[in-house]
Amino acid sequence: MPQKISIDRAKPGMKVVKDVVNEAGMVVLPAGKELTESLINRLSSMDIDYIYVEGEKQLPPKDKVFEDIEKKFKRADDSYTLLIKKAIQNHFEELYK
Amino acid sequence: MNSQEVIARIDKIDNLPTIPSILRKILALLEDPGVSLKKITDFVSSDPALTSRILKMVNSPVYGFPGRISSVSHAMVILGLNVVKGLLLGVSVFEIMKKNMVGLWEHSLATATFARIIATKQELPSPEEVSIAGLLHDLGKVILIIAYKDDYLKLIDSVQSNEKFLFELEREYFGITHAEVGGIIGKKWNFPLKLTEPIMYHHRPQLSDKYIVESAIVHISNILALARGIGYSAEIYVPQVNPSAWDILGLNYDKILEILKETEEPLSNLEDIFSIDE
Repeated sequence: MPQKISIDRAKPGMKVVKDVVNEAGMVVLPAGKELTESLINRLSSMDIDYIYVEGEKQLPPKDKVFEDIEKKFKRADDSYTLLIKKAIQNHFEELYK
Repeated sequence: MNSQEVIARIDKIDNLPTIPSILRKILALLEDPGVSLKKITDFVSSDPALTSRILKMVNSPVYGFPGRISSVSHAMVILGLNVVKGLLLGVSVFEIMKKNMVGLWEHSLATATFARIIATKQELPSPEEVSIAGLLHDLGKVILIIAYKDDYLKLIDSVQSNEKFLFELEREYFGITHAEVGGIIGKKWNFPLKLTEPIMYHHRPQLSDKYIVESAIVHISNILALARGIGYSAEIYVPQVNPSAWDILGLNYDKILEILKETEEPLSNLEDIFSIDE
């Protein structure tokens, strides 16, 4: 999952997963490049605020998430709301893969 | 309390001492039905903090524009008067949300993001307008905080122990719900029906008259934001999906899954604008 971070949180070794574009919309660093100290400095000097890097989203413990879903849907008894519950469960299963 | 009493009080909200001065100024601007694009641009541009907030919102994953929008006048051209008016109100009630209901701002942003993505899938001409309705759908909660702070915060606390929906408790206590309060105040502030209907009917989209699709989208977006667990809206249970809203949008299990998947990335990047004032 791509993570959007501000340029001052960028570190050498991070991999850019979306083209970095300047204000004029020109690509200044293509997706796939690994950041280096000098690249980071160059991006900062170009007034780039944010970049997208490869990163894992920190998720809360899985058991707790699924327990919360049960609680939240306690009053659901119609087929539509239950379909949303099923979709949310499936969606989280995917996120935890 | 009866609803007439509540409506009378919120009608005079501009004069309540609890209303922040920046919001008072913005309201004076919005209440002028003939307010021009230029007047709003000038007003926002004259306040650097406001400018920065508006631009942060416009460039946030809530909207997902690929390029960078770097001026208020550029935002005006892209988003139009209604969206910018809505954003202006959104960022000015943000502080009240932050101070009084932790998580409501995040819930609003998540709802706005879902609304934009569903509206895009429905191929509506302005997904941003629907997104604004999503951002402001709980405006009534902010109004109730301004007008009846102690009573309302107590009511919110009691949601847990009563095991009820907040809108049920509101109906019992105030005779009116936050959705209706939001709709009424939206009308007072000259918001177009396209915004006020989805706000007013986000719990009862079947009552919507002219903007049925928009109301259905905000209804489902609120439910998805609650189900996905982003932010806090004082509800402990996910409200029931309205079948007519479901049908109008032609939803099914696979489509819901697709919406959840597509919204995951913008949602995971929302944190950047939570710290909007830092």
